[in-house]
Amino acid sequence: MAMSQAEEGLNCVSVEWGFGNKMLLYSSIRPPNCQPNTKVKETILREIKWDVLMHQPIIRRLVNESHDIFVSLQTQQFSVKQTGGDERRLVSYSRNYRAIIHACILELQRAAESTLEEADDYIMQSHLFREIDLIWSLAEIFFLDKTPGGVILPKLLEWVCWHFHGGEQLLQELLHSVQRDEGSKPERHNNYWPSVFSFVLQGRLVEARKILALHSKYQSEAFQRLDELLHRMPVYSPGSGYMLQEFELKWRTWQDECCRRVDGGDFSLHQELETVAKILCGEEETFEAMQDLCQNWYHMLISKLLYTNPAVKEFDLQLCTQACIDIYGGNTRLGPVDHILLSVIEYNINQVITESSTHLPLWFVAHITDLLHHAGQLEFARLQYAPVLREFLLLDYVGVMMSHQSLWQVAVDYLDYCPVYGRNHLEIYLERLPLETERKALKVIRMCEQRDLLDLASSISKVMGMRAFHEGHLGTALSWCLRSKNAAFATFISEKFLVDYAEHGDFSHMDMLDNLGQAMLLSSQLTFLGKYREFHRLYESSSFTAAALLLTTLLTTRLAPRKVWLSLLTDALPLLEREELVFSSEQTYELLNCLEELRMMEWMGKKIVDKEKLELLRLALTRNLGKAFIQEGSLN
Amino acid sequence: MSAPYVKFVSQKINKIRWRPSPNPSLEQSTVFATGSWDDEPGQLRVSVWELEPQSEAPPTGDVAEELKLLCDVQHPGDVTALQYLNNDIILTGSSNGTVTVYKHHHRSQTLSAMSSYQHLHGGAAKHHNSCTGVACRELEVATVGEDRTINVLHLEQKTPVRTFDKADSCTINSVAFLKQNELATTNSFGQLKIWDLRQVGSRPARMLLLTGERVPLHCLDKHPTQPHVIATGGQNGMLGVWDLRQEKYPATLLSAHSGDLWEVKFHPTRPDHLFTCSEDGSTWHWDSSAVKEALQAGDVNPWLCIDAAMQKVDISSVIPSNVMPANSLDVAGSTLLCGTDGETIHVMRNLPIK
Repeated sequence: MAMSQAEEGLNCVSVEWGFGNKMLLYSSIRPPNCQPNTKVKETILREIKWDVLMHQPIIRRLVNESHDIFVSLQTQQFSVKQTGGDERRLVSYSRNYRAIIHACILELQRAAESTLEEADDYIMQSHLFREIDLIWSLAEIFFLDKTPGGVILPKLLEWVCWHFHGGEQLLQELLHSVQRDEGSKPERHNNYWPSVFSFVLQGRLVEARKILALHSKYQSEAFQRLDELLHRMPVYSPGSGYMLQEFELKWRTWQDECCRRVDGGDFSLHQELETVAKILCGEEETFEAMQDLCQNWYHMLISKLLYTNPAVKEFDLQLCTQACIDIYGGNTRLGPVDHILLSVIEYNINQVITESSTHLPLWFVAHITDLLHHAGQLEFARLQYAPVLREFLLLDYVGVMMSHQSLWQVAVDYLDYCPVYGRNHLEIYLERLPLETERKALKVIRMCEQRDLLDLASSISKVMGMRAFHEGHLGTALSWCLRSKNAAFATFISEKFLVDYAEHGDFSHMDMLDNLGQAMLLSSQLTFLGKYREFHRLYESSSFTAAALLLTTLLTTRLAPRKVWLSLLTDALPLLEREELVFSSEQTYELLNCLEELRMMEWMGKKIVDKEKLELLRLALTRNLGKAFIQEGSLN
Repeated sequence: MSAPYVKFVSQKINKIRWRPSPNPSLEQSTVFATGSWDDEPGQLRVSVWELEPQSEAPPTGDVAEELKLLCDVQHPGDVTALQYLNNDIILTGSSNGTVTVYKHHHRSQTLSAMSSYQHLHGGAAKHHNSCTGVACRELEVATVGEDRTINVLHLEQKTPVRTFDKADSCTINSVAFLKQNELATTNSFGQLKIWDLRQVGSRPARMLLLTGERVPLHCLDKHPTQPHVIATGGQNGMLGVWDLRQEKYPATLLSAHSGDLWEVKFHPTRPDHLFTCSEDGSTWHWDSSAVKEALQAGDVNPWLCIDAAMQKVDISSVIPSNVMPANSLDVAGSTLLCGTDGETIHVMRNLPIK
């Protein structure tokens, strides 16, 4: 991408990183210009954003669904030893994660079928998630779903059957063509023997036998003998009551018989039958010939082990991998997924995590590390920095989510479970969330309050209040101010209300000021405002004595700020002019005192208002004093 | 009660509303509309969905019913208010102050904007121009917003018929039509105001307010058969029930949820049942049908006297497994819909509503 029209005088491109998937490009000078007089034409800032896999609508589902599973996992306790119940729970969480991966793959496939332009993207993404599932399921077998006795092959066979469907596809085509041409012999079809081999390699002997039964020569002796061998193959299942040594003995006996039959030439007439039998004998060259059907070294590994060492222990698996890799071209042909699978087999969690974070989406490595952490596997592998590693991966993942406008709520929940840096990151992120509407601000404030970030909550309320104030919504500003419980802000807003009153001669938002209730105690200015309104209300409802008392109290307790004294005293004028006595002599003395103070300030050079008003007030007050003396004297 | 059906829809739902069915007591509505909020520009939309009718035999635990997206359309700004006017007209309010009228074309299954009132709230201001609530009654529409203004529109006219300009002292959060010519609104200072459309000027006819702390009232709903009873939800999770014939304070104030109570709804045909949803993710079903017998109150609305018989009110959590904030709900017949910030729609069928 070239920056068009290079700005004059600027010779390089500088960049600033934003959150996650954004950066800012601009032209600048290198080295930076120190001369203040140089004129620079206006610089253009260009924001660049790139697509993130996790932000696609279909994959966003994955983010939200996995969030639910993640949060539910964090609240669980698992014992380090992983006894029965705990292990089952961990495996069920793992299966939940995998279920949503499957749902995602299905959605992607459906989407690929319905559109044209983006079909390639969807297909690529579905392949990516298939790889993720492949690795996850293998990791589940090795790290979570421990087999008693360590005999791992049955689970691996299930794994292979689950992920590799070559045999079934071949069979489908075969059956279709058989249905189409009624009279033809199934064995003529190209797929016949490959499908048999596939099923045998995956240990699915029942299906293999059924296909063999379709052969026109099924009744012949050679076929029957092979069928019998397939039928009698011992299969190890953990709960079957077999002891391991018993099983091995039986199996060796069976395989010896297979070899005898082959050597004895039982199948020499039929090349393919002999191949099947040789597989059963575990013959090396036959397996090498099957490499196209197995497609990759791990399938080959499992198939070979099935027929050479079915009772292999989980830790011994890594010894057999090199031979299979060599069949498929050696170490140079291994891709990233192969490396990760190898690391799983070698129980090298560190390597698994490192490779996954480089080649696969952060989503995968963050969640699987967290799962392994809960299973105690990270401590078990003696990774010194295990909890920190988990936290860093989660923080990276949070970064991906925060770069999207709406995923911040999900991200905050993840930060809650990062014990060391989570809170810091949370404060920084929440502070920078754009707040377009009040509703969003309320949600963010609530998140802060829930997590005890009260300063941040108060600060957000202040920002919202100031924003309202600048747009002329004094009442809204007041409501935010009360929310923020910040005295300085309350003082600020009250002063603005008073300015407003001075300008318009009347209060706006009276319904709010009249009903502040307890909230008016937030700051003394606010209290004054509330009380002042009360004074006006009392006056309007003709409770003059109460109004007078309130007014005097406001002045004597100095609750009223000095600048409004004059207007307060002016408000007292109509009360003073009334026929009946409203202010007692003591109150009048207080008022005179205030008047004197005002006059002192005027005399000292601080301009208040015109002198006439002061004189008028003095006159009224002295007259009232006279009235008061007479009335109070005569009452005596 | 069976488990709710959950669908992840990749958009945060702000409003969810059933399409009104022509015959509510016979036919259960199966179509509803949602509006999303807080998303990348260009991703905000109004969508119409259809719920497959439930088969006779109850599902065996596996999710059998399907939710299908019928159509959607891009929406300018967050959808902050959504109402169905009739079978195929949807009204929305936006966070940029615009009120748009959409038509759902049944044959082609598309939504298109028929008309819009641009920048109805806030004008050219940069902030505080969000429309926060919309109420409609036949062709008359009332809208309120963060600019403290109430606009009364008539759908056949391009400009508002009546405007109460900056009539309230702080942000107005919701609006509803009451009796003829009367509107009720709630604002961010705990006040419930009644406005008379025939009166000149911008002052409310009546004002009622919360006791205690003046928290924002987010939502209000009118009792379907007794229009003097109003329920409101507050920012501190409190449910308020008001009697408009009385003085200025709520008849009942109940501490309910632990987060903002975003939406409150009376059941349209069985008003002894009330539903609330909240920021803490919970959605509650309040059943007051046992209160009347307990108090032998005769004709009094049970909601006004639940204080006295609180233990007779049956409160149940409709969607217990939800943790993300529930923003909106709607109920019709015995099915409840709920839209959340976890980008999900929850459908709860066969609610125990007698």
